[in-house]
Amino acid sequence: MEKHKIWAPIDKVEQEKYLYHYTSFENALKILYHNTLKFSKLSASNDSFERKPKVKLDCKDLKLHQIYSYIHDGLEKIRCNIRILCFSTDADYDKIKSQYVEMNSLFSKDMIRENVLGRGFALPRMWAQYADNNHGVCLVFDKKKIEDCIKKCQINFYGQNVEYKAYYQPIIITENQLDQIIKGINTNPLDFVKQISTSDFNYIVYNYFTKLDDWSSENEFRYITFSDSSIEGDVEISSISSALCGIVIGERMGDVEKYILELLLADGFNELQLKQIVFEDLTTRIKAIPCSSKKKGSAEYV
Amino acid sequence: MSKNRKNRKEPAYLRNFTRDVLQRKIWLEESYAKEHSNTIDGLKVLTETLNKYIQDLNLEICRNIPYISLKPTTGADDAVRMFIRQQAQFDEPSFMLQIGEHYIGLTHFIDLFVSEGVFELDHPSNEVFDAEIIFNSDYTRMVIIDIFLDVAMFNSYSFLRDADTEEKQAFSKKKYEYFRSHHLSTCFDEVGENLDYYSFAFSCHDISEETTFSINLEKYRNIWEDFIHEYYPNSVHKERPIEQQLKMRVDKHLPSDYHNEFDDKEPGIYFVLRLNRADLSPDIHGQLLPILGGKDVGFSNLKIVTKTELSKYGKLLRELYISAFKVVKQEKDSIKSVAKNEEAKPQKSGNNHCYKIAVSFTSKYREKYVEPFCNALLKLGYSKDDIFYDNWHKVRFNGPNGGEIMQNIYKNDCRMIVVLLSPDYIERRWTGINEWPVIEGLINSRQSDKICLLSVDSVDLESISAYIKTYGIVEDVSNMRPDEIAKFINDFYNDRIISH
Repeated sequence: MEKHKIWAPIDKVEQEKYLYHYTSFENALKILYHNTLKFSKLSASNDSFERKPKVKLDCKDLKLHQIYSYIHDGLEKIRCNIRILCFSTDADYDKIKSQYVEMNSLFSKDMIRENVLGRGFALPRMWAQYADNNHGVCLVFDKKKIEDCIKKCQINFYGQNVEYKAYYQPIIITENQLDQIIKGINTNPLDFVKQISTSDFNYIVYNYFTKLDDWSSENEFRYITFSDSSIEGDVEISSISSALCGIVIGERMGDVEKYILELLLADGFNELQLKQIVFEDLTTRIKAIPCSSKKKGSAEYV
Repeated sequence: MSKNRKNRKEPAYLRNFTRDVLQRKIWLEESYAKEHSNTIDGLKVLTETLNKYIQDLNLEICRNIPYISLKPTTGADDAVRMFIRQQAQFDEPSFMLQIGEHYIGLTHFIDLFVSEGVFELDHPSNEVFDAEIIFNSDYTRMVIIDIFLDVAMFNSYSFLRDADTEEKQAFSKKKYEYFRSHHLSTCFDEVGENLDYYSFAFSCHDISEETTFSINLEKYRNIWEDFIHEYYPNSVHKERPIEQQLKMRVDKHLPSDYHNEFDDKEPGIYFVLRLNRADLSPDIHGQLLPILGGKDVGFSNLKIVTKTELSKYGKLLRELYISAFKVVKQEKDSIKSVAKNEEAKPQKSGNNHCYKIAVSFTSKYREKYVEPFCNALLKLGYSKDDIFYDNWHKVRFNGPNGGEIMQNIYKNDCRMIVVLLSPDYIERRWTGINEWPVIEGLINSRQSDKICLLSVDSVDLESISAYIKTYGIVEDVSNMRPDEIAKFINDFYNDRIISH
């Protein structure tokens, strides 16, 4: 009887338990039908900065400029081999607590109970940008279980919250490091980056888990992995239904889409909770979908 | 499916043949009613489940528990007991205006607020309601069934059913008090303080269960019994006369003097059986003939069977080949005998289990352990009348046959025995000769479920009993605080005594 807690207000939910993946209706069908989630190329990210290596050569010798360009290009190519899987998270309650309490002081008890603002499935910009302007879907995953799925697929991964910064500060490459880097890039660039990532975690955090403040409303948590291939979507996690614990549909999803989704879920996803997000005047709430085919024996639905 | 209720295959077959059915309504807020247009079908299924629970209770309890008929409505009337809404901001002024004239007559009125992430029982948002239940839509059926199951149980006691509105409202508060004072488990994540309402069914769900939300009926019955025993010790339920009960049967096939058939029967639960369907296959006909008797099976053949006998006909009942109607024959002198008992004994009575907990111990451990944990039990809501601790009931066993009286308490007049085993327990005359043989007798006669074993000072269990040494689990309380020991005893009482 604990399942309902997925939809609890931010002050009542277990922090870091869930991850949220916003997507369009069509992509959601693919994900659910194939029961897989694909890592995407870092180089295909919609954040232009993601594609840029944030390094600077600490050398005043202008002759080395060409060498720097060479290194820069080398690192940028490697980015094609880096795959990311992005989710949103619940807001860090400790950080928003004072605002949350202040807001609640203006609300009735019932409004406080239904208000899910701050939850990872209630991010208006995510619904607008990634979920087809509120026509799409937000998949709710159990974080621990999704990591079990990744492990089962024998994928080496790093996962953590994205840090948001006002400015990037480049990693400085000293003259002494140049030879080693050039050698690395010339021989096996992917192994080279993997090696740095393992030995210098700051490097990986800074390059792959740092974004500008502009993106902070995404509350992003991401997993990265490396792929020898540069084929789009070649790294995928299977059997994700075991980690999927709820689906939220957008406020504007049409009845036909809803019905198709219900039919798909009725076949093998019986225990899954399907809800709809509703943005009210002051609060945001989750409501049940009074549907016809949600479960067998739907006449029992009161 | 046939539209005729009598011809439908329903699990609550007893419900089909009685008029003892309460009509109740659920008020659906406009937007909720609009979005849940299949509510009427949903309520039918829900009512069948609810009545199946009532039937299961009716098969066990020697009272007539009325069945329930539920209907949705979108306005106030006297049959409304709950209001379902799914928005925090609903049209409250209009709602208050509608409820106005019915408010005074309502015994209880619950606000059900569907909010997906919260499952709480709390104070209502306005003075019309007795409580507010905030719940996930997946629990709708569970919450409604829980509330109306308590309505049915309430109406099965004549002294509650016949009480005035004020007393009925006080009754709702008492259930909450009982829930708190007995530290009952609950299906809610949170329950508010000093509420005016509680349904005992809320405490009878297996909370690890994710889908069916079924109710542990045995626990439910025990809680009700214990509650009535504690809060209404002097009240006596008067069942309707058998003649009147028979009039509640839906058909008129019974002879007018049929109640005389019960004259020679012992008090208890009976069922009047009759053929219900004419479309009999030879196989069914063959099965019915020995049951209903006579040369041929017909509608005029009537038979009275006991509860045990009824259970043999399960399939025929479920398929509605036979109609069954419950009749309760109450002990004629029950009212007098209970009243007499009350007079003779100041303690709660009505059955043999006078005390909830009796304690067996040696005097050496009185001050350090027994008195402190008995006092701690008082803080958990027990009264001195609930606990047989000798210092509190000296008059009860004073006299030459005090040992015998005490043995009788351990044997018959308590629901649970706490035995504090100590190194001197067997050697002491009082415990070794008077008390332990009775306790051992209970163990041998398979009544060990009521015995809670505690130990102190590294007692050698072999010196007490080889059986206990081999099979027993004994809680060492040497290093526990009195409140911890009391909690252990209270948990034992709730889990092992009330639940079973």
